[in-house]
Amino acid sequence: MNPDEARKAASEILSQRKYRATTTPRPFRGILDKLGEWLHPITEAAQRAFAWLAARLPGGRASVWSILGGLVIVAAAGFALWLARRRARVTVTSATRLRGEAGLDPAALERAAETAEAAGDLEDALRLRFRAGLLRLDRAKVIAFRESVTSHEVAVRLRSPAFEHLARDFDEVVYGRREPRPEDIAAARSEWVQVLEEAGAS
Amino acid sequence: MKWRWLALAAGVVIAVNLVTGILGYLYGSPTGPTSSSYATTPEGAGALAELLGRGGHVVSQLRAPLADADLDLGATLVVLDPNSIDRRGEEALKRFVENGGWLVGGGNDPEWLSGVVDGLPTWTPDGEERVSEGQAPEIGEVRSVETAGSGSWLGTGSGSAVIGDPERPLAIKAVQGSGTALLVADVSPLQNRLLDRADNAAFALTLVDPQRTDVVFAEAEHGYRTGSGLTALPSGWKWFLFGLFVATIAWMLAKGRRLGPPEEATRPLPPPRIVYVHALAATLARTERRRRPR
Repeated sequence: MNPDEARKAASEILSQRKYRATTTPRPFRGILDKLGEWLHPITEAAQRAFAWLAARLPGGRASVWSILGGLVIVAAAGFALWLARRRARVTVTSATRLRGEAGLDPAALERAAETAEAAGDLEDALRLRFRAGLLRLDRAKVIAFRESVTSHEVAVRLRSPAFEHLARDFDEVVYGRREPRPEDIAAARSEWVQVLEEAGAS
Repeated sequence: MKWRWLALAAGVVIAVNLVTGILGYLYGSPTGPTSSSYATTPEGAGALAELLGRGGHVVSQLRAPLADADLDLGATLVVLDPNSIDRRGEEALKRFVENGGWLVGGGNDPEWLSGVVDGLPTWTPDGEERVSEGQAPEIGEVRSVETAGSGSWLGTGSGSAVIGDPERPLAIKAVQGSGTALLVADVSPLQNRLLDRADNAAFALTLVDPQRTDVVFAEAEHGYRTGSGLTALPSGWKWFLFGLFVATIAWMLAKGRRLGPPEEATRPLPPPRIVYVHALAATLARTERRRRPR
């Protein structure tokens, strides 16, 4: 094979696709290049910091990479923990909301009772104040409040004449359909204070 | 919501570029070690192997280390830019040449050749980019060789210049025992990047003994090995598989049941309607109270 033939053969071989780099499409290359230009000062500073640190640490670049790797692992673990706690909190909050416990605020109920009383709705005022009292007992861990808790259960737990009076009035009005009187409301206001004090929940 | 769309768009841009980048890396770029007959990179020698095949030679690759291989004295052995050759490898090459073999060797900083050829001249990283003088009869019609200018011999040592100024030849020929060693100080003319320039292709063909049909490229020294099964996999692939295995175990642990029996003792029932149960209990309790005389 003379030099010309050999050169031609070599050219044919080298013209095969496997010897040439294929450029794949790079969408948004211009934007990314621009972004790279903007970030260049930051990356340059980071490189300088890296080199500065590598020059001062035993082990050089390997040590710096090890430290960076450790920091990434710690950061990832911290983020995972934060995310897990956040999700757990969201789940608890939404579950609480679903159970309707957001409205179980004694103070809010008492305010609602005042409003109902002012509006002349004495039964509602009595119901709301009774519920607020039970919730305060629950918060003081004297009773375990639930929607279906009975006056009898609470009376057995408290053994309080004041509560028995309150419960009797409540049952008569709510279940016995007796017309509520302003004295019932006044008694509820004063006797609940007494009940809570006796139970150590005030 | 606006930020969510912006983040989504940025994510799509990054993902598309990442995928095309990976595809380009895997399928679009030539690969292989420097001066390897498998390599299609500019610094590879894949085209040289193909050219020798077109020139009538039977080209093969030796994937066993030189020290352990049974070197065929009837073949031309090509050893270019080896990663490393130990003492046993150098001795094996020396025996190969002395016993009648034909060796084509060279590359950057070819210290290893001093253990193969006696009286090897000093190598220097400086070289001419166009070598067109001092042609020996062996290279026939070759008049000019283009190089990267990255090496030459300082003199000819125990050999004779093949091409180039005898004071700074590009290649020398050393006869040792009953064999021959052609030593190239700068192998860039044999690499893909320059093989089709000047008379480089013809020069490459003349380095190989025309009387010997077989040409064997030493590839174990470029990292290739004989092997089967897992041992044949490159270490990068092995690490990838190991990572995949670890990820699978982690996924199984995350998805699997962590505590408790493997199977429930009873069929899981829907949750009880606790509110209804409590309401009914309350009603019953009140009913009982009202029956009682106070």
